[in-house]
This record gives sequence, structure tokens and C-alpha cells, in this order.
Amino acid sequence: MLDDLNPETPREVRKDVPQRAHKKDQEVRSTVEREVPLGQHEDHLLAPAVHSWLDGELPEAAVRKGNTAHDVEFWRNVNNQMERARRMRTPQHVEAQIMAALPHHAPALITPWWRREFVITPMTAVSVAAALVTVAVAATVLLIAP
Amino acid sequence: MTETQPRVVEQETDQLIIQRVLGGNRDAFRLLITRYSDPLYRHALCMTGSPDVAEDILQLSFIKAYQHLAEVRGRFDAWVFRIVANGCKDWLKNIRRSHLSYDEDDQPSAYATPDEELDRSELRTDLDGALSALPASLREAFIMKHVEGRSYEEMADLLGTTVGALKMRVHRAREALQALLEEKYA
Repeated sequence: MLDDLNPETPREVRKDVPQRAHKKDQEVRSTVEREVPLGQHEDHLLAPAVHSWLDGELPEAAVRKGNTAHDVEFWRNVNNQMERARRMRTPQHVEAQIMAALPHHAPALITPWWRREFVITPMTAVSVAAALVTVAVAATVLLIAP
Repeated sequence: MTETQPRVVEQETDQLIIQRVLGGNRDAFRLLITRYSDPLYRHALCMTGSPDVAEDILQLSFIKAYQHLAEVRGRFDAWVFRIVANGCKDWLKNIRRSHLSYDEDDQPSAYATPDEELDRSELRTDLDGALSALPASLREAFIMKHVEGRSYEEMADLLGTTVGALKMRVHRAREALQALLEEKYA
């Protein structure tokens, strides 16, 4: 399986793609990009009932029979192994490390200047007008001067 | 209804803590770290397979969260989860780009105690190896479902995608994992 992860792509559509195209595609891509080989994956479709059981929508008794019994056993083992991962806790030193690495100043909201609110007071308006007039006069003098 | 009430209270508490931190009480941030570090660490550890990398990602994520704390809108836990999840995906992208072999360089080896290392069954080791062979988005969906025990709705909310898309990813991840492991454990 390569990084074609479009979840909306129905499996049936992908099955219709000629195997030669897949093979050629796989050859072109480097080993680093190659992940789960497609051909191997396509042979191991799980029954929808098994997915439903794993999703908690069906009781185990409903799938622990017939062809799916073997899959149920496999996933029970996997889930048992996952149990350990569920109990993993952050090593104790990590919290202290994070606290020591935090900046010493309080976090502040950084707003870009174009999103900041401008308050125009009469004084500001007069100052801006005066500055504009000065710039205009200076520009005129420079243009007119020989 | 009974389940949502504690959640609301918890979120209010998060907001209060955030206000205290923004008001200059830096130590209050420790409460947020204590509250959320375990699930975030588990996510980073399962995604990267390396305790050292998981610690680094967790640390960088909390520092980033602190720096941008004033920008939090809504749930803090969801917001910081996205920072960690993106950190994991960025790391996976970079390690692929640098053509480092996961098997050689990042196989979990530094588990907390030697006993824990010994306790790791063969299946668990093979499972970690098989997980590392999955594309990042499948691995992420599988871990959120099977290790973190999240509902598809919660996953969709956190990852900003649809329940259908996530179901598809989890299903494909299961099938790929079974394909990779079945020969040995059938």
C-alpha cells in the first residue's frame, strides 16, 4: 500500500486497476517510500462483521464462529498486546524538563499589525495631517527646485 | 448528559488555568501538563516507536502550546493534541526524507525499565514493526482507535475529517496489519 490514502476511493475501484500498473508504480518508487505491499494487503480483507466487532458494534459471540473465528483469535491477541500500550505513562522527568524549558515571560497574544485595532484620537489625526502636509510640501519643493 | 457534565466542568477548569497562566502564573501550566501528558505521550510513542523522540515531541509541543496559549479557542486538550499529532507526522515525514531506516535507528529500545523491555512479547515487537510499516495516516487512525480507545466521532473532531474516512483508514490499517502478521501468527 502506498500513500494513496483517498478514503473515499472504493476498494472495488482499486481492484479494477490492472496489477501491472501497480507493479510498475511500485518499481518506480524508492524503497523508502514503499510501505505495505498492495498485493499482500488485498488478499487479507477482513469480514465486515469483524470490523463491526472491533468497533464495538457487535458482541464477540456474533463473530466467534465459522470463518471469522480465526480473525477473532488474532485480534484478541493484538488487543491484549495493545493493553500494555494503553498503560504507558509519561516518564516522571519529562514534566520537570518541560517546565524548565518554558519561556519565563507570560504568554501574550501576538496580533499582526494589520489585524490590530487602530484608535484615532483628535491628537493623532492632527499629527498625521501635519506629517502629510510636511511630506507634501517637501516633495513639492524638491520637484520645483532647479 | 451525565457524561457531558464533567467534561464541561473540566473545560471550565482548563480555561481557568489558562487565565492564570496568561496572568503571569507560569507554574499553573504544570497542571495542564500533568492532566494531558499521558495520553499525548502514548500517542507520540506509538506513532514514532521511540521513547526519546516521543519525549522530545511532547516537550516541544507543550512549549509551543505555552507560547500560543492566548490563541486557544475551545478545548485545550483537542488543541494540544493537534500540536502533538502534527509534530509526530512532521517527524515521520522528515525521517523518511532523510532516508533513515526506521528498523535500524528508531526501533523502540529505551523502554522505561529493563523488566518492561523483557516483558515485551514477540508479538508486541512484531506489532510495533508492522505499525511502523503503515502510512502515517493509517497508523494514526489505528492508534487513536485501538490504543487510545477514542470513538470515531471524537477522532473526526480532533483530526478535522469525516467519520467515514476514519473508519476506512482504521479498516485498512487492520487489514494491512493482519496481512503483515498473519503468516507468523496464524
